[in-house]
Amino acid sequence: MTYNAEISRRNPGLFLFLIDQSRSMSHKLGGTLRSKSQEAADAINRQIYELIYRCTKSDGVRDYFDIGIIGYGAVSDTAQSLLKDADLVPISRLAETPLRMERRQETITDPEGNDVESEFEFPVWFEPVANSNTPMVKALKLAQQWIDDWIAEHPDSYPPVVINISDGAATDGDPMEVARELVDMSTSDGNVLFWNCHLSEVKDAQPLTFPSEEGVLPPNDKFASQLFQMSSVLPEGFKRLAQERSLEVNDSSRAYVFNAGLDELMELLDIGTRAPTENLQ
Amino acid sequence: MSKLGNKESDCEDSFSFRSREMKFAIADGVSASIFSDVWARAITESTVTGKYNFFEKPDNFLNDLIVRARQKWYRKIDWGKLPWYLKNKSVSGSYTTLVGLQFHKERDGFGYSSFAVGDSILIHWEGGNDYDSYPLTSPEQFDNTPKLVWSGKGHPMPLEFKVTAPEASTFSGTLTGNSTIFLATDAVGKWLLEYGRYEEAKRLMNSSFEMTELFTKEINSKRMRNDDLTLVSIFLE
Repeated sequence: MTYNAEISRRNPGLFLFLIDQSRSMSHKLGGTLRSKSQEAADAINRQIYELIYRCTKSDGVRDYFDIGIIGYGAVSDTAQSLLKDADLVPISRLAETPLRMERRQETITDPEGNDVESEFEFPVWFEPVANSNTPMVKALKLAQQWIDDWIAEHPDSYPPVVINISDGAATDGDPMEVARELVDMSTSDGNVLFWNCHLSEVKDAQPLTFPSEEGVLPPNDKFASQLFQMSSVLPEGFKRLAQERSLEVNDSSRAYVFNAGLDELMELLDIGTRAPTENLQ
Repeated sequence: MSKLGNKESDCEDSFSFRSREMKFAIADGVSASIFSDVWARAITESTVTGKYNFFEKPDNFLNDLIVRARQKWYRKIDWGKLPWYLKNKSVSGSYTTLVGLQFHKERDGFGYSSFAVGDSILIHWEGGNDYDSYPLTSPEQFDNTPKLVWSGKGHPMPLEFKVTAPEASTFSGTLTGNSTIFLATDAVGKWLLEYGRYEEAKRLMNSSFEMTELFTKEINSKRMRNDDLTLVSIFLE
């Protein structure tokens, strides 16, 4: 049985987010008023917030996870950590060290059952950037290096989950080989899980969520096929979560969304991070 | 005892009793919410210290009990000093299960009445396989969605936030010379119903070391879920 390891402070899990910071990420995400880089940065910041929320107990944030964020393309041909002075960090450290805090509004229900607006503090760990080319191979190599070290320290942990958000093909070579090496890495509980989300700038683009065969992707789109081949097959726990949300998945479905809008991006991030949090001890 | 791997202080179960009033209460604070340990403690203390008669319908006193417990819970938390992550999560309030139990002297012995919300259980064991349990009667009935007692929202909502009491089920009985009443939070309650090891559980009550050893063994062999565990036994001598 794989992907069943209990996640505890002794055996934490790892989430590693990879985010494309190439110039084209400055274009609007299809169906929204904001750029792909803004929506992607906001979505990942929100997902980290959610993870911290799930790890928060009365005594503080428990280190059930380590977190890393790699940005690629902010500087030409460069991939780097987006966390200040750190690569992979325990989640409690992230909770203590946001880059800045924003005040946001949420609706809560008062004792009389009325919805009232309430302010709350929302942390931001990194800002959107859209600047140069798409050195995805370099990002994957950096991820591979970090994960190699992490697995050496956590050989029996829940396998690392890597989530890559991009809108275009790698400009620094073929990412297939390094992606294969990445998903061949494993703990005793299973192989590294590699998720890919392709963002679309086309307003009414048809998203393809968790496709199970390459044939459903646009013909002659090498990049779409590449991301499909690089993506892991969805393990059982993730598949169940997708089915609960009425998404069509089967035993061959890949951890991949092509032509994602904001809803699909949020859904992928949520499903990609939720299944492991069900193993918290 | 705390979930294996956690510190003793991480335990979110609570047990309170008042021998003079012959009242007992057990609660299992839900770990998905925070300050559930504070809430479970507030609810068991309020259950045994309040002037409630458990032989009446819980509808008659459960609302008042929750108001009192909310006051204890709300005042125990230093809302102004919480870091953002505790502040944001504590708004949602805390949740717990609850079993309240009261005995009263009858001409020929003792009768009891109990009320419950959720999957903490009472087992009335008469020896061997002769037992009654409630509100759950078999191990298959334990799931991930028990009814719960909610504290109501935290700050910035005011202390006076009104909470609707959940529906409680009730159970009553009479003690015989052989009777033992067990109060148990879900993991240990389910284990007792599944494996029927009442005799052993009762025998080890005076030895927390041996009891901890037994529970650790049962958890490691996957017969018992790794969770906070509270087991209380009450019997006549």
